[in-house]
Amino acid sequence: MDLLKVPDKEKMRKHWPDLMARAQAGDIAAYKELLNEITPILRRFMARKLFSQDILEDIVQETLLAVHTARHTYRPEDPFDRWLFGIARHKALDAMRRYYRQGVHEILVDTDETFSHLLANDKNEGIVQDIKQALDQLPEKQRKIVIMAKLEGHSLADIAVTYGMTEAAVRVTVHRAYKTMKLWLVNNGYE
Amino acid sequence: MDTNDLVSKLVKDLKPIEPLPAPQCCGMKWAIGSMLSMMALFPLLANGLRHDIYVIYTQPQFLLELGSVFLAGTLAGLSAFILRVPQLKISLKTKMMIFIATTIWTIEIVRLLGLEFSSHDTEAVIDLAGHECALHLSILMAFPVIFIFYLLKKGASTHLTWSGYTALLATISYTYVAMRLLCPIDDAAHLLLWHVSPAIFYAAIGTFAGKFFLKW
Repeated sequence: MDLLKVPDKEKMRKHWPDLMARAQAGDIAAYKELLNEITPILRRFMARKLFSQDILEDIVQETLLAVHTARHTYRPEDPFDRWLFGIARHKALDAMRRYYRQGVHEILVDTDETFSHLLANDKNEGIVQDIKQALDQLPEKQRKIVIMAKLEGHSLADIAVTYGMTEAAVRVTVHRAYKTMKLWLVNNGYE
Repeated sequence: MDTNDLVSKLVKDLKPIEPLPAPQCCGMKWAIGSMLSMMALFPLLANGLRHDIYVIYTQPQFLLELGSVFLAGTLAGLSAFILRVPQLKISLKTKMMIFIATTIWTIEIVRLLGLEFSSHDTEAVIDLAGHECALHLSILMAFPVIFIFYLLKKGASTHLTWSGYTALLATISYTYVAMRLLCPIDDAAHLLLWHVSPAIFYAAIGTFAGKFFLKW
């Protein structure tokens, strides 16, 4: 039922511009209040735009980061809702383009697989060497992320914190790396 | 990371910041900077202002042409600076400014085409020496285009294509005016080939460039 609630117009018009103006001046309490109030609104906005619940929270987080980055562009005399939903729409479109171009489902499946079971078995020495060579084909950051995700078994959330990325971005990075490695392995005799 | 954790992190990272200045202020800053940079280059390119400047500046048609293209540049520049602030939809006022600026250019191009077709003179078209004007135009617009993208990058545009288009439209308009003060050739074919064509080419590039350079 919460998803169907309409944002309080009065808050949008007076309260939030005031909170943002105070946040711009460095008022931590005002900023916390503002972010806590806009988060459910953004969640509702994204729920209307996006189909998958799996990525909804990631996009909300991306939008909150964008609000933080662009907070200097808000001028208190301007309508806050147009500014906020401008950012939200921009991020939603970006995300839709990114996710649906790459195929969300494919990404969700392959990030759960790891290579750690191969490393645990001595019989797989040759395969491990090949995987290491495939890893060498990747750019440095991508390689480190794959090692954390697929060899060391870290969660996407951990990697996201380590690299200051969103989980969605880590998932996409791992997916891209996985495709590059797969291609290299296929070209080197694997099926 | 949980959304609540992210909110806590963002709150912790909060520092006082200066809100972005009004679009008019930035537009003014860019216009003055661009004009000064072009004026500084005048003595280096084509030995300064055109030799007939004291005669031609009294002609109403010339003044109207320069005035209208300058207006197009000002409107496009202002639109670019309005668009650097996130907004759900482009306001009607901004759309009108972009429309007027584009219309002025369209009229200018149609006027030059009309002059060219009525003159039946193709001499300037095959005069490849005119490429210097295209080169000068490119040199003149280098600083203004870098400056406007630098200023726009300080914002957070949510309409990247339009931002890129308006930024380049503003830049080429001011540069076109500057070139008309430098180059003494008023022939329509010369203007179309060596002044307008590069300007259109750069405006088209700007439309795509906005998507990449203004991404945030």
